[in-house]
Amino acid sequence: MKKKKILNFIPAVIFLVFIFAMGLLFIFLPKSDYSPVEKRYLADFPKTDADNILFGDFDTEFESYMSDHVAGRSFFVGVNAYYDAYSGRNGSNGVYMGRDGYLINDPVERDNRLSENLKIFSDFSSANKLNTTLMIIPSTGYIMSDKLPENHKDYLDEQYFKTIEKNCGDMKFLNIMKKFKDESRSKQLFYRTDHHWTTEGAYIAYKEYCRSAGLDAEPEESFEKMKVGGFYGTTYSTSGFWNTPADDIEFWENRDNIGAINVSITEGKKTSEYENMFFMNHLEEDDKYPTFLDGNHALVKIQNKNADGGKLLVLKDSFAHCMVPFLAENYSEIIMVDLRYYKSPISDIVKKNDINECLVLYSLDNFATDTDAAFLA
Amino acid sequence: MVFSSLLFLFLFLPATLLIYYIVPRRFKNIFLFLISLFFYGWGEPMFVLLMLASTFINYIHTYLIYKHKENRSLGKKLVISSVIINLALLGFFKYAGFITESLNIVMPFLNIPVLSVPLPIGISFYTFQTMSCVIDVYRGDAPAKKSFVTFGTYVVLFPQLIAGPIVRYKDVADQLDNRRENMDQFVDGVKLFMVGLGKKILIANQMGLLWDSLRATGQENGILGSWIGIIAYSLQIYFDFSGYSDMAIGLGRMLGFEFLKNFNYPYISKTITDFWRRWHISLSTWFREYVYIPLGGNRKGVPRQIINLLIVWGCTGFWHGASINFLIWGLYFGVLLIIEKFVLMRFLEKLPSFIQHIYSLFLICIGWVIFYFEDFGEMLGYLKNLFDPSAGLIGSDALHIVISYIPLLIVAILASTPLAFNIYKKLKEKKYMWLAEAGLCLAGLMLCTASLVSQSYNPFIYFRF
Repeated sequence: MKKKKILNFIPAVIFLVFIFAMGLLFIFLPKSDYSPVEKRYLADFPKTDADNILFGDFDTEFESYMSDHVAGRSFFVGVNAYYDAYSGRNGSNGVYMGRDGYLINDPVERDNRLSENLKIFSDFSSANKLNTTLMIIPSTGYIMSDKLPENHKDYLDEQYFKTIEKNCGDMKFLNIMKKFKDESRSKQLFYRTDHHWTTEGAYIAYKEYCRSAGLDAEPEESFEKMKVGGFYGTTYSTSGFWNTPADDIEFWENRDNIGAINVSITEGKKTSEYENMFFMNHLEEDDKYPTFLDGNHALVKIQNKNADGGKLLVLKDSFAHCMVPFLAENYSEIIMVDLRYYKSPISDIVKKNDINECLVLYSLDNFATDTDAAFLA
Repeated sequence: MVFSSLLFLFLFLPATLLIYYIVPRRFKNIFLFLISLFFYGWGEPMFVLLMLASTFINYIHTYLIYKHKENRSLGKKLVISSVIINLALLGFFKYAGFITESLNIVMPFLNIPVLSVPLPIGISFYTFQTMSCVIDVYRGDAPAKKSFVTFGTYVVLFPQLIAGPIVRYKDVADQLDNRRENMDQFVDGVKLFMVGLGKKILIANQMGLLWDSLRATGQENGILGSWIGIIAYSLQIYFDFSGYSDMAIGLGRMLGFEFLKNFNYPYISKTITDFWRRWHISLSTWFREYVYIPLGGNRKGVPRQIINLLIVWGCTGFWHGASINFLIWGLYFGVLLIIEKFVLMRFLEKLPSFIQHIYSLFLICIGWVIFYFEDFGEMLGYLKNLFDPSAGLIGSDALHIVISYIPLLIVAILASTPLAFNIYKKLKEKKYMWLAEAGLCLAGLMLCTASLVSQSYNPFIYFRF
């Protein structure tokens, strides 16, 4: 009887050990500023002045600080992600755990800005008398639908593409949906741990673009392919599915262009010059996608002395970083602008550089949700 | 501070338990008093002063009433003075905005400036507790406390401070001075706390997400989608509130207090009368004891009883929030209870029990629609969605969401019945039960921590898009 009684105390002992241990570990473990798996900076300790404590948000800020620095944070984030997924709510954190290690973003909200953004770009194109091609990359979930879990929200890409086709105004809409659906049967067009398309996918889109623009696409054989493993992209970081195997990422480089390339990156008032489109320093990080053109920048100019063609303006999201190196085979100067970071009038760039060709290149998700396009002028 | 936070679980609670069990008995109450002020002040630093003032005023009242307990007329005056002060505080901090706004609508020519006073957390709970104390002492149900700290401990005791249960003074008066903590009670407290934590984090929060996403799509949900939406909300509010009560009662036990049960499986009720005996018991008890019975209850004839019931239920509704929909919600139940009492009960009792259950749950769910929507347009819109066949059975998005929540919905529905507790009672004496309990406790802690940690999990993916 006595022994039984002691055993009955065990749940309480577990409880006490757990809360005391978590408290002590939180207090005494060293704190880091950055979480590599989540790819984000962790919260700082809230301000401790009287104003913030008495009238401010000290309490909620402290709770965020604590949840960012609690012992075993990424372990607990993973436990929660897998618990949610296996108790039926796969995708509740915005990412589906699909078949064969595919982590796929859930579909874009039905209530989105697609029509508004279409009109903005088409107005911009007419106002500047540009010869504009619009290329929208369908979502991973639509193209790779056989990798999705049984129960998932509907991907309305077909409906959205019809809307785009109808309302793109003067722009030439280059529809790569069917091509992608076909090629996806034999090739990996999208990453498994990242929301971007692969170099393979970007190359297919490049060939389509050349066909439509009447250019000769550089054949696949011209490129030297380098494959790197250990790639954990943004869908991996968002999902918390830490057991997902790493992806491979490929870089295709045309060795003939060595010495002919100049990349100038403008961020704010500062411009830096480089001789390569691939920034190998990012290969050491988990997220290797910024290896293409050094990731997100406001304004990037790529010049290729070996190319015959003229100038091209590219208005884009990060999907372009992987395709623009191919376009550099055909254009001697590409001016690539990210409207999320570049806040001056684009029409000035058009005038100053005497540009008449433009490519609008976005993924469907970003094109339908982007709020910065509104500043396009 | 709330119980379902990392700060409470891993810093406040361990530190409180450690110090509480180290300090000598004569300091235990003062420690609880101070630590409760810290608990309250963490989120509401300025309103601690209000709470202290309210506590002090009521302490003086109870002290004087008890001291002059032979002088009934003085006692009565003191009770009236205390009730007026308490209701004035509650009225100002909870209802001033509502009252000034309503006056402006009814009499726009008055042009009263609308008062927007931020609601101090828990004021409805602690005001009711202090009133209970004054009245109990006046009635001679319990003696007053000589010490301000003991009295203060009763009012601000952190387990029940911000969301109840509303502890009647006479139920704990004795425990405040003469409680003896013991291991068995502590272990029971831990288990009940874990049950409450799981109810809140693993069920209520998830049902809340389901309700939020279904509510957002409105009419596109279809009839079934809308019903599942309001069922999810019914489950959320039950598990949220009863989970909080379980945690409060569990924490009370860890500190040596016994509070009365606040929920008793309300969704297995067969009538609305039954429901209100099982839902937020401490609040209905309070209103019965300190409003309904003093008004004369059922002792002054049927018409007076009906009026008394309507007053009590109007107040009960309004207590939940300064908005007309809460008043309507209270009166809705008042009217249903009156109908049941005088007409329906004898017919209901003859019906098969599953029809009684459907009858009750249907009316309860409709009640939650009234309770949820402060905006009448939205409320009527949602009620329409529940009965409008033109919206179809269930929308495509709603279907995907509902399918993904089916496992949790099943768990939540089963957990609102006494099934699990009955199984537990049967297995309690089995040899390896301690192992199962320990396993559940650990799993619960892991999952709750994981969920709390992930709530802030909002990775900033755009910085390297």
